[in-house]
Amino acid sequence: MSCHRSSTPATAFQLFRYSAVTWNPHRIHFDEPYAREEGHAGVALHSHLRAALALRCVAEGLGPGWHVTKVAYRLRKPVYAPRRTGLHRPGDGNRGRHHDT
Amino acid sequence: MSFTPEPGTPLAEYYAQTQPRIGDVLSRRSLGTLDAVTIGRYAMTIGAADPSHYDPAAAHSAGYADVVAPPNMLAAIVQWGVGTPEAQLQPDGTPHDGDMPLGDGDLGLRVMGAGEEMELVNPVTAGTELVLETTLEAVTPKQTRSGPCVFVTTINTFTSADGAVLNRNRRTVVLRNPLQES
Repeated sequence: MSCHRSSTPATAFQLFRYSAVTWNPHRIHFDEPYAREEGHAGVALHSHLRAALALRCVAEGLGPGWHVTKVAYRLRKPVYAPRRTGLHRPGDGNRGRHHDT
Repeated sequence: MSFTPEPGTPLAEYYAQTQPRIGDVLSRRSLGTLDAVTIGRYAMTIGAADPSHYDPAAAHSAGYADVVAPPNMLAAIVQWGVGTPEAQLQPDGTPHDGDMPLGDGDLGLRVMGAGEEMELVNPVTAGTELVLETTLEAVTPKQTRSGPCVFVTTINTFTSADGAVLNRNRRTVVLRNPLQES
């Protein structure tokens, strides 16, 4: 699987819709003034949105004959919208990490 | 090296409240029936193109009973049902009565997701009646480069009403003191 990059960045609008569809009222994901009051640099991508985008990269890269059965991820630091994401395969020197760019 | 939060801080109060509950089943409840519109909306929001998330015929062709949820959808939904009235939410918008223990009273802690391990045992399709059991696994205070924090891990097991395991997830969030106390 080659490096796969999402075609569109994660935008503040996507974060708003993601909060809506997951019924997540946490203000750091859609209320920028509040997010900055908490010390963030902007509206923060949801941990599950980051995971969903990574899983989408994997699924689209592997094709329909594959199914994800186990997932494990750690989030080392917050990322803020807008943010384009991509995935590097193991052997590219980055241990198969989902890469927030 | 073990670490305990500074006494008198909200983080210390949270740790004192929550640490004794390690091992407790925090909740076991019915979440209702998952519908195709919610699945499609989640798939659309994350930009998923697979038609089996939207079209029952495509889902059947792929071997599913109905439209199928993207892998982490169950884990991602924060509040099932109608949710918490705005006046009862904490100042950061998070609900007291969610599945992750956020402490009694207005401690003002900042919370963020820190990671997850997910086992996707069975596909989750529209029409499935869902049950969620949440167990508190660990409450771990740590001193980090960005200051003191507490990592909280819960085991969340989603089953169908007839007991079939759908997802088995170990989720960790990190809590920090309010910014003015950091």
